[in-house]
Amino acid sequence: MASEAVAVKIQEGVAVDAVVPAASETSAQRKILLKSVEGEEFLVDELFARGSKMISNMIDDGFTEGAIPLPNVTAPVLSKVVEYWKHHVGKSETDKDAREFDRAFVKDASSSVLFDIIMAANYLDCKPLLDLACQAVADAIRDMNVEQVRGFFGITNDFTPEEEAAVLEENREWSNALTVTGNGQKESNEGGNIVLP
Amino acid sequence: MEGLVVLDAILEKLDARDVVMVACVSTRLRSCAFDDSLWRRFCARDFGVSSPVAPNGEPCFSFKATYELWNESFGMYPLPLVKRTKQCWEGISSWLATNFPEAKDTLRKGASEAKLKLVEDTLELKLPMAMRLLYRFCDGQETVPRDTSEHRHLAPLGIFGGYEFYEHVVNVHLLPLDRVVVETREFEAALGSVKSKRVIVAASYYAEKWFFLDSVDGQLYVGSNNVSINGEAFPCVPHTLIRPRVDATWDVPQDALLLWLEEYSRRLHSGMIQVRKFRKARVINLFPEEPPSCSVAITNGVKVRASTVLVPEVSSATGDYYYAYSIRMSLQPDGCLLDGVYYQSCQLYSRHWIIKSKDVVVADVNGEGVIGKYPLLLPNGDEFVYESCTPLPASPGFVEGSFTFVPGRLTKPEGRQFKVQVARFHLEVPEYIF
Repeated sequence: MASEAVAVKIQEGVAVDAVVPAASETSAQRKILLKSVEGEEFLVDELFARGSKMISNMIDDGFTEGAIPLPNVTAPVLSKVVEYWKHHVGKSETDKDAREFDRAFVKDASSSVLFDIIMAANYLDCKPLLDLACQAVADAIRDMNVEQVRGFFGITNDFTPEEEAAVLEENREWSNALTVTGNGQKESNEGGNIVLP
Repeated sequence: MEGLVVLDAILEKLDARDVVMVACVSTRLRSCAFDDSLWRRFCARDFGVSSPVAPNGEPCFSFKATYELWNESFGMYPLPLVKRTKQCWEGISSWLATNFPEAKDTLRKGASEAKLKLVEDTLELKLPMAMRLLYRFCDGQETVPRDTSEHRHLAPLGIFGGYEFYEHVVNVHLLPLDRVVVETREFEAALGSVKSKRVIVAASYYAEKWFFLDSVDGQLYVGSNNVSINGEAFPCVPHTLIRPRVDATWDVPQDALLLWLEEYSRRLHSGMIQVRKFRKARVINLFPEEPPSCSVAITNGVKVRASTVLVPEVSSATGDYYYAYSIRMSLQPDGCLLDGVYYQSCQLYSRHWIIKSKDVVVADVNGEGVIGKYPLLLPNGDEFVYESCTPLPASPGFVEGSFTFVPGRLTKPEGRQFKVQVARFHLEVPEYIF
């Protein structure tokens, strides 16, 4: 493993040999080697790598030698995931920097990037990141109509005309059901889940 | 498969309406969007509904159908408020089902939106949102007697409880909308002033204790001694918690009625307020049963518990506040221990009572018996309970004292007299008035 000539992605800005970490080092100091699908290797603090439940379990199961292969994750995506861990692992849930990072993280992410992150977070079992990315997609969808959602997911309309009519009718009924503006309910419209005609 | 899991993780973060829109995209998205496990989560998330049952109690064949019916019925309100009111009300009614079923049986089913609108039009005011929601779940208690002979068995069933001292008996019931209209108009007529924006919601049998909601400031008030003269009333909920309108910091109105009900529910569930025997019936007794509002002291085997409630309906904001207190005495199982000897009974001879208001002694009473009685205590016997009331010129204050007991009986004392302490209990205007 250490004798193979591989490109080692330096995460700390300091050159480090890709060696098996000594057992006496604490998990805060120990580094784990992760390998993306292209074979690119990422050296990551064990503390951060445990941001993935899957990797954490593998470490606990004794998988400390060599690189952990992640055949479902590409290097660009893995790089983003590691960034996420560095800003979140070990921090409190209300950490201001972490929230600021999240905002920037999803802000201009394209749908394909978001989907890749969602798939990676799902595979790696990193629930907070999965939630963040799914919420970003949900927020984007919320402001869309049916055609726009199709474009966003890159999905084609495969309904028969009858099926399509039926589901559009149901959609219409749902929009209408929430346009009640009885007196006294005007304030509730500010709650956000009611559409005024 | 993984794609479906991920799709589900995205959909569950949407509102129901958006999920139905997504269903129009393709057959695959439709089957994901209409997956009933997603709608099971929506029912729980938005309405606190965990089984497929419609608002009217009928079973539904799917969670999606359940959600549609709840949304149809309650979707005109902010869903977080619906869920919160529903859960609060269910907490109270489940407590009643376990502890006071005879009162639970008096609860009427919820009123309709149409009925609420009629009430608003009749009274020419807008009902606070949480009051509307509460009445959607329950239109008050069916405790207006059809003839006076039914008074006796209906009077103690008020779900908001009460107290009694001397001849003053209080038991507060949640009024049905029809009575809300009648009583509110009677008050308006009596006060004769400009149309107030207050609506009565709860009232006591017998003694005149009235609770009303102010539709302008959202506060719940309880009438003072002067309420029929000038509308004087005390706020029942800490002002700082109330937000009658939606604004930038609160997206759900914080209505006093809901806050009051939530606090009441907490006290019922914690055992602070309990059902107790009252003459031949049972009532919800508002004298606190637990510290810190209930003081406890055991001296020589005699246990004395003392607790107090503010009596707003006889108090006056400009005059004295009245506090009723309930003293409960009992003898420990081993009996009365005096000078190393156990006695199997003891009897009260006299009391010494000190009432202080802001360090000024208001009353310092020495007298024989309590309310004319000389209770005899036996081990494991029932608690002897008596109630009394005191005015307090200025808040806060406290009461403490002692009872003089004799082991054995007064007619046949078996040892010397001894003093039993009444642990100090405090009199101050509470944050929440019930």
